[in-house]
Amino acid sequence: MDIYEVFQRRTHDDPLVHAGSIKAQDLEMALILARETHFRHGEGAECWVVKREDLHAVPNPETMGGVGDRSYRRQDGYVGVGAKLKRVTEEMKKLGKSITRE
Amino acid sequence: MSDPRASLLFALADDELILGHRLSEWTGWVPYIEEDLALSSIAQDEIAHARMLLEILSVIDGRDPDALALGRQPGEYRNAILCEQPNTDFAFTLARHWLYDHADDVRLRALQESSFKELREAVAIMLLEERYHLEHADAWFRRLADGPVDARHRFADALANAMGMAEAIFEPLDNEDELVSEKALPVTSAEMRDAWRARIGGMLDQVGFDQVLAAHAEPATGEMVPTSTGEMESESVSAPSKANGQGGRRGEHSEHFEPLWLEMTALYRAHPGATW
Amino acid sequence: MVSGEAGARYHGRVTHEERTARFKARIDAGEKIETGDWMPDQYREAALKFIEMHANSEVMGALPEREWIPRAPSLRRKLSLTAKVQDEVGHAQILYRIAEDLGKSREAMFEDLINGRTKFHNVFHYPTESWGDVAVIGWLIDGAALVTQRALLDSSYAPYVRAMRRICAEESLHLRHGEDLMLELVSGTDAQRAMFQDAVNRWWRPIMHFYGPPSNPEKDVLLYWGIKTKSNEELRFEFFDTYVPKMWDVGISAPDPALRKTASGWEWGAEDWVNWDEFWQVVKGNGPMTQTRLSWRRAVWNNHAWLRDVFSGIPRAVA
Repeated sequence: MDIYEVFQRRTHDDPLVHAGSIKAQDLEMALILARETHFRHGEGAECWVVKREDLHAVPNPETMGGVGDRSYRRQDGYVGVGAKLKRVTEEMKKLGKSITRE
Repeated sequence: MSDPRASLLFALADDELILGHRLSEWTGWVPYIEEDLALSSIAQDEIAHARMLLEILSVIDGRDPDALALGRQPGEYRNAILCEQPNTDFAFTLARHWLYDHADDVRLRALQESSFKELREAVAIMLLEERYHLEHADAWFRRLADGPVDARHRFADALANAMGMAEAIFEPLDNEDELVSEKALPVTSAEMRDAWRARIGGMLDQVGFDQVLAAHAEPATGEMVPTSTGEMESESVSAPSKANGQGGRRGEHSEHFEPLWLEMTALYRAHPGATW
Repeated sequence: MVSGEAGARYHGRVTHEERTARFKARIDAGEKIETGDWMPDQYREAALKFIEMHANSEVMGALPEREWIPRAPSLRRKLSLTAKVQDEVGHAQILYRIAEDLGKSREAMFEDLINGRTKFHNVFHYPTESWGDVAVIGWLIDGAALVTQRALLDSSYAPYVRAMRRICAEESLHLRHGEDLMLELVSGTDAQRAMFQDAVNRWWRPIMHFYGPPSNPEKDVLLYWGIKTKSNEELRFEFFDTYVPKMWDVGISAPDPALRKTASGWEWGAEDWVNWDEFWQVVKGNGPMTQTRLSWRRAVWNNHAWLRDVFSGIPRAVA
């Protein structure tokens, strides 16, 4: 018997998410049994299985995304931009550089 | 029964009800948890099919579906006696499941052409659910037939025990001539039986079980799955009281039907008119 | 699963005590532990034992109710009770898988259970006598379990939290089902109403035992490690708060003569009526149905060794 990890896609707009695991002797039985273990209430549009030994975790996940300052590539590096937009718009108006719409 | 379609509906509904009842007895006991879940879903499908068919029948008959399911006398049930056999053990259960679901598939495909509109609509739903039952049955068939010696032997014995009773699924129905001429039953029971034998014959041959089709072995004494009351008597699979397992379509059952009927219907009948 | 090997190199010469202290600090800070994380043996063993007992309880809990599947008094209830018991088996499947990932095989856990070496909740050692029992189990006992299970949503062990989310969602459905069964009985015929009250009278003591005797939070290992997050008495009072008013609203009484709502909580027969002697007897495996049910399970298990051989790699027969 092997352990198979089971994944579901709730609706066709959703990503695959992990639903749990089952034990089965081979892939065919895993496909047959996964549905009634994890989807008998109609939880998803799709059900996928993969042998646990074929699933691999990337090591050292705590350093993913960088450890030092990488704010330049994240939302939190751009927190002031909304305020800046407002300030620049008002400045341009004062300098008479803004174009009227009429 | 003045409407011949009633005998068709009773046969179909009672097969599903009684088999579903037996399969539901495994819930919580199967010695492989994921398989317990799968078998329980299959049991629920069968009972739900019975309910659908009894809803159609209640329009013809006048009694409501629960009264039809739980309020009739034993001689009024028209299931094949294969369905009422005790579960015995997993080998017998799977043998019965495989034989029955292939028979049901042949029957449902034929009924897709039925002149009886409401039945056709129900059949379309049942066929979709039965597809999974067949996948499940066939997967286990291959694993047991090609498995370790002990498993193969038990499964072959179980198939041999069940074979005669399975053939009787295609015992002619009451009013069959009328049903066929009206095309409510598009194909005769005999023709369906032949189609089923050809299909399973091929599969049995492939795994070297060709002797199973020919033989009707002595009934085995199986280790019993505990019943709801917990008795652990060793139940034998029916030595059919009628030769070749026939009689179900005329309401003549094996000795296992009455205890099943008592258990299934006692609470319902003890409180007439109550809702639950 | 990834072991703590890489972590060990990173930690260098950290002592076991320091590591354990850091682990405890993570838990106290509300962090969650994953299967592959380093964990002190005491945590691993406590978590495994707790989850194993929970799994055992689901699998043995299926047995009292499933007695009524063949006897269900309507097609709808035949279906719904089968589905409900199926869900209990499903919960066992989820919990055994998590326990297995902590290092004990499912076969070993099952063999320990059926041979009386590990335990399952007391409440599942009792017989059922009527459809009233089905309603009591489905409403009050599932309700009692849900109170406990909701508290486990905060557990420190992440796989258990994920399992509990799914289990709680399914139990909420069971609760509605149980309530539906109860309402039909209490508003039905006199016989049905009496059936339900009689069942409550027989099951109330086992339900009180469900939360165990009032425990000492200071000495509770499971509370220490955050595997469990509330004390027995807190959980019992939550059960009273949720269910006793509803029972009284439909005119159903509890047989505990001391049960009263007070300003600060509840008074109940915690010293005498509850009969903690019976509790300890059942814990030791001497409940009314303990040995019977375990022997049935042993029989089915032992009679199907041939089936286990099918999927455990015994060489195939040559056709």
